[in-house]
Amino acid sequence: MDEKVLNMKEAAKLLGCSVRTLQRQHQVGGLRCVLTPGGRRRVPENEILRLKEEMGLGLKTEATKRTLRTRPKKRVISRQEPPVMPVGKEEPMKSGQIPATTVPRALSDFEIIEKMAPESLPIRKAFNDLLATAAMLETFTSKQLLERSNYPEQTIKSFCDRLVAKNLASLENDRYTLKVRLVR
Amino acid sequence: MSEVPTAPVWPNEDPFLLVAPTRPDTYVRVQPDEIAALKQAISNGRVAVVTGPLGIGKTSLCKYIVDELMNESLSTSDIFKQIVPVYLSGAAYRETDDFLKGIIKGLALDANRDRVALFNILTSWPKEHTEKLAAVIDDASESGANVDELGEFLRALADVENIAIVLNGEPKRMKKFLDLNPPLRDRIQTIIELRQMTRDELKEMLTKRAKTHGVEDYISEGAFDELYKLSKGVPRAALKAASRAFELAKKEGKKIDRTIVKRANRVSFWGRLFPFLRNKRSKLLQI
Repeated sequence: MDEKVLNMKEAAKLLGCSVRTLQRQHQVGGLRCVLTPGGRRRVPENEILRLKEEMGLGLKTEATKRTLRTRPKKRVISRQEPPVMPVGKEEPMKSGQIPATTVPRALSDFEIIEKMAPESLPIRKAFNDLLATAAMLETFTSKQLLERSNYPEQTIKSFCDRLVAKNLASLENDRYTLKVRLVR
Repeated sequence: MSEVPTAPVWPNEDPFLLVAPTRPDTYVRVQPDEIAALKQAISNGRVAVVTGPLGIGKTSLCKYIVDELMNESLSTSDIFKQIVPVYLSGAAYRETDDFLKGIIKGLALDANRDRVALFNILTSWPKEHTEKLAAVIDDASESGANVDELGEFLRALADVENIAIVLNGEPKRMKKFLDLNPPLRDRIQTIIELRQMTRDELKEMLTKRAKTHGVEDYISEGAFDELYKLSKGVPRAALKAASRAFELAKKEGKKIDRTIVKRANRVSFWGRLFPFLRNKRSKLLQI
C-alpha cells in the first residue's frame, strides 16, 4: 500500500480542528489511522477526503468544528464493503493545501452491473462478486482479483476491460482505479 | 533418508489459519460419491441437506460447491447446463425477507422492490431463465428468522422448477428445524452426513495448506500421527492444533515433529481433570 499519509498535525490543519480532537476521534473509531511501527498515528489521505466529504466540504468553519467535536457513534464493523473513496492526484500534497477532489458518481452495484451488460447470468454473478472485491481494494490489478477469487482469468480480464470501456474505472500501469462509488 | 540439519525458514503467515479454504486446490474432497450425489441433486433442482458435527467442514463443502458450480457455468456456453449458485450465510439473517433479498442481491438483480415483486422473480424463474438456480444456505437452522415462515418460504422455493436448495446445519438443530416443517422435510432428496477425516485425508489437507506457503517438507510423519490423534479426524481441530504447533516451531526455529505438536497442544493436569475450567483459566491468565 503506497497510500499517502499525513501526520496528525498536518491532518488537523487540513480539517481545521485540533490534534487532540483527531486523537479522540481515532479512539472512538471516527477516524481511520495507520499506525507506524512506533505506534504513532498517520492519517491516510483518503480519510481526510472522506471526513471532508462528510462535513460537506466546509473547512475551518464553526460548523466543521462542531461536527468533529460531537462524538460519533462507534462504527460497527458491517458486512458491507466500504464505499469507494476518491483517490487524490498523484502529486504530493503539501500541508495546508486543499486537494482538488472530484466527487465520484455514486451508483448501486445493480446499476454498475447493468452498465457492464453481462451476457449471461453466471457472468453477471461473477461480475457482482468481482465488483465487491474491486470496491474493497479501490485500486487493484487483475492479478490481485485473480488471487482473491476463484474465477477464470478470462472472466476477470473481461470484467476489467469492461470497467474501463464503460468509463467506470481508469487504467494506469496495469492498475485499475474505480471511478464510481458503490452505494448499498 | 537423512535430513539436512538446517533451520527451517518459516513464513510469517500461518499456513493453517482457521478459514475455509479460499482456493479450491486446498480443499480435500472427502466422500467424493456423496459430493457427486449432492451435485446431481442440485442440477435436478431438488433439496439437499448437509449435516455433520462442529468443525467437520460443512461450510467448506458449501463454499467449494459454490465455487465449482460457478466455474463450470462460466466455462460452458450451454445455457441449459449453467447453474448459478448463491451462497447465503443463514446465521446472518434475521428475517425471511432478508433471505429473499439475499438471493436476489446475490444474483446482482435489482433488489429495490417490494417483497411480492422479488418473490415473483423467483416463482417465474423457469419461465424467464434457462439457467438453474442453486441457493446454498449455510447454517440454515441457526438463522434468527421465524422457523415457520422460513420453512414455508423454502418449501415454496423447492416447488419451483430449476431452483435447488442446499441446507447446511448441525444435525440436532437441523432435525429440529425440519421436524417443525414437515412439508419441507418431505421434499428433501439427498442427505449428506459428513464424517471425520481419515489420517490420510487429514495429512492431505494439512499438506495442501502447507504447500501454499511452501513449507510442506517441514512436517514429519509423526506430527501427522499426533495431529490425527489430537483432533480425532475433525479438520477444524486439526488446523487449530497445527496452528499452535506452527507458532511454537517458528519460535524455536525447528521443524514440526511429534514432540512439537505434543508440547504446543499440552493441556495442564488441572485442565485435563476439569475440562470446563480450561477457558476460564486461560482467560484469567490473559488478564
